[in-house]
Amino acid sequence: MAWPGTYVPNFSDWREGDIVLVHRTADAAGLAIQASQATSLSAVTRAGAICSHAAIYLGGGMVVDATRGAGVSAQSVWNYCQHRSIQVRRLSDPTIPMADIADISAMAQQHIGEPYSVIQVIISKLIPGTMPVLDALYCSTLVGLVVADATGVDLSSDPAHQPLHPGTLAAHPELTDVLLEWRHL
Amino acid sequence: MHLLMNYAFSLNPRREPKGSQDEGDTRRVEAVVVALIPEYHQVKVRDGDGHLYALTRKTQGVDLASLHEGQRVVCTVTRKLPRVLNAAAVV
Repeated sequence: MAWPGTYVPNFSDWREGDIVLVHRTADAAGLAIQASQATSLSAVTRAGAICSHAAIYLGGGMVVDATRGAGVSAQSVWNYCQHRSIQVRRLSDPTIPMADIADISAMAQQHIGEPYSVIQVIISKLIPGTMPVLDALYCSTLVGLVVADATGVDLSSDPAHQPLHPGTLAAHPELTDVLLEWRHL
Repeated sequence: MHLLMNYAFSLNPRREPKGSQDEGDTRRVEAVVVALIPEYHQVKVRDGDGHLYALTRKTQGVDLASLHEGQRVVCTVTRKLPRVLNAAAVV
């Protein structure tokens, strides 16, 4: 797909399976998620509270994510970065096989078409430790499940990272940031 | 003296989670199955300290389909980025 903007992110430094995080979504669901994270008992989630959405990078400027309305779908990074800031992170442990990392994006695509639910956010706030309800996926639930399926790493392992919100991923100590640069087309 | 030892133990940053044994880069933990997630080919288990681990298709030593909620398992997990290398159901 042709990139619609004048500037393009440094996709050549991104890897399939990277986690793409979106900051300061201004719609009602985004504001509710940010408010929920800002009052979380977890210092990690509070630290990343401005992050309101999480997706998996597929390559070629595309991500898979769970969103209200579209459910789990593939879409262009452009849909996020034209109006909001983004953050790209990846697993920091070099002992994880690259083949497993590559599996993250492949496994994410297998769930395209499944529905989305922000109800999970509410349930997880009311009942700490609640397991994912797979009738419908929350964006960071999708990321956590797919990463675990591909690599075996449970990003919600530590009680401070439960439930796994987008903000938890934004400040997660076991993820490292990918330096983001914008280049003129 | 007993109280002093308890206090010193509480300050030890390398204190192991309940039911775990140190084996260098890995440790063994006892955990209980808390969720079966066949759609994502994984089973979630939780140890006595509330840590969650994912048993997946790549976890050696255990048949995911044979596990049920409440079942106890013993897992060998990596110390950094918690990943279960192998697991065995406790019968």
